[in-house]
Amino acid sequence: MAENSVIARVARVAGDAASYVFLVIALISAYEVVMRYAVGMPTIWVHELSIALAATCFVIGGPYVHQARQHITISFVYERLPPVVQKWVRLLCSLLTLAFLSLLTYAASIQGWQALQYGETTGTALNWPIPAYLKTLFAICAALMTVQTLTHVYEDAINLRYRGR
Amino acid sequence: MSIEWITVLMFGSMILLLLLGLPLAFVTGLIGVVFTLGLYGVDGLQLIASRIYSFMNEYALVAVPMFIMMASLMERSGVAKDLFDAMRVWAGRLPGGLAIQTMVAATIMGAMTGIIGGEIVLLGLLALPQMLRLGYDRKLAIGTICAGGSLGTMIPPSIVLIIYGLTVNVSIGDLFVANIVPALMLSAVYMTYIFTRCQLNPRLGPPAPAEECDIPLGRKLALMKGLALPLLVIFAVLGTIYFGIASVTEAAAMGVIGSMIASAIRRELNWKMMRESVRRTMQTCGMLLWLSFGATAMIGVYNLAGGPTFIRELFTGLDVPAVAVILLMMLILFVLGAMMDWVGICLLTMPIFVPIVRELGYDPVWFGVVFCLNMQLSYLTPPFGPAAFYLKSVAPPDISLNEIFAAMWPFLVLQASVLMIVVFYPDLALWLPSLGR
Repeated sequence: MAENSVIARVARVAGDAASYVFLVIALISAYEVVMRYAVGMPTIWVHELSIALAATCFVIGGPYVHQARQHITISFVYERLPPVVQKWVRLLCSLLTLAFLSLLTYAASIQGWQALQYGETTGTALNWPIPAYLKTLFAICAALMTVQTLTHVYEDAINLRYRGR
Repeated sequence: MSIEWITVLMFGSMILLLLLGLPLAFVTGLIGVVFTLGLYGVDGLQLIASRIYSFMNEYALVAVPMFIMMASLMERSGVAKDLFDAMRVWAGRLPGGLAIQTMVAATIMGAMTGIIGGEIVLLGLLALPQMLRLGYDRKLAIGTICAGGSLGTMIPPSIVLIIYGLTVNVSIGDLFVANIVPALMLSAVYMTYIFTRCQLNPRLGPPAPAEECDIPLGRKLALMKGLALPLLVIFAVLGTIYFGIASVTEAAAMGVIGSMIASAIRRELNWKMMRESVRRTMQTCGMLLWLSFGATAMIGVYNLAGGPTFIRELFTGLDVPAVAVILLMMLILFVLGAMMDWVGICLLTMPIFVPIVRELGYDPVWFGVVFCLNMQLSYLTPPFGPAAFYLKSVAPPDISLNEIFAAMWPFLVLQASVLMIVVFYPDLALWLPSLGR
């Protein structure tokens, strides 16, 4: 099944690992507040780094949720359809998802490639290459979700052959 | 293609795809990319990628996972249970006392959570069995939990208000402060309703047996001691935001650290709890943010096609008083709310509505409050009423989804009344933030 595919496992492991980054964000933000009020020496890196870390999690969260097919869905019409129609609708939805994600991957890849080529930086005092990194990560995650959707399409197509659920 | 047709096609196909069961995030995203391709060709797709990229780079957005994590930590500690038990001291032998106790606990818990879900699940596990055991009217019990549990997004911190503030560019701190009075009004109206109904018909909410009401003093003190620190964390977080000591994001991060310290002192902190909390945060953020990415794509192309101007002319062309335009917007939000998640609604409609609201001479902070109140309605209305689904996931199996939705009606009427009061008396929302200026 699609949930056990290699691609789903990659998304799961990456998401589980990245989830600890939230803890890091909390810690560095608290550090910043302490440095500002208790020590009187505000940092210059916490602000940018916390945005980059949070965005990392947001982006990785997409494939993480998608591997379990848990993106929010309205199912009340779907649930009232006869089982045979349900299977076709499910396949259609996976195909539509595939269409969106492949186009998104295309756009994100161009964006990522350009940022990577020029080593795009934030243009602030720190001037870290955060945009190059994040845009690349976004393209990778969009691609990952596209491949996940392929496994969903395959699963839904196979499912058409079986009677019942 | 004319903008009239673009509008009809976009929103028509959105509703069709939503009903088909395509995930919301992909519905709006798909419409975004397809219309971009059709109107601006392949090169236009770059616009979508760059819009999504700039969306995820907002600093205030970092507060979202922080508040979700703070709530996840609190939910996994025994704080909620202790809070619920401690409220029994107040409830005593009032008619409907247990339901009122639940509502008070829900209101306080609302200050720990900024998002719907966890609180309803907790109340469904803690309060529902108790009320059913005492022989409460099932509908009253169910409605109390769903309405009370939804207060989490009304009482600051509120993720709804963070996203609203980001979308329309107003101070999130002001929004939080403005929401306090309407949120407490909502909670007070619920309690009055429960009290009145149980007063008229005591069989709806029988009091607890006398021996259960007498909690020994030692136990009371122990409860209070365990609660002191978590409550202190909540007040510290909110206070920091109100007095402008730290940014919303920093306050939220301090809230995470504070909740961890509080659970450590309560001897509840362990790796399992941490792991579950961060994973839960990851999952919620993944859903929320990708929903936002999709909505950003769709509204981006609609903006380019001249949608906002078209809608503004449509609204201002109506020869009606300003308040009628606001009421029309409320109606649109209500209808969308029955079918869509609030994130999608906020990102899709607010960039169009709020400039009109400003033009009409209303305060966007006030509009954020009425938007938030409107979304309270959306949690309870079928067919897409998340509150019902959350409760269903933990309720006894003999409680059906239909029964849950049937129990919502009185509370929906109450919510709608409070919404109307705040629409007609904007000062209820704007009074408190004006004090700070």
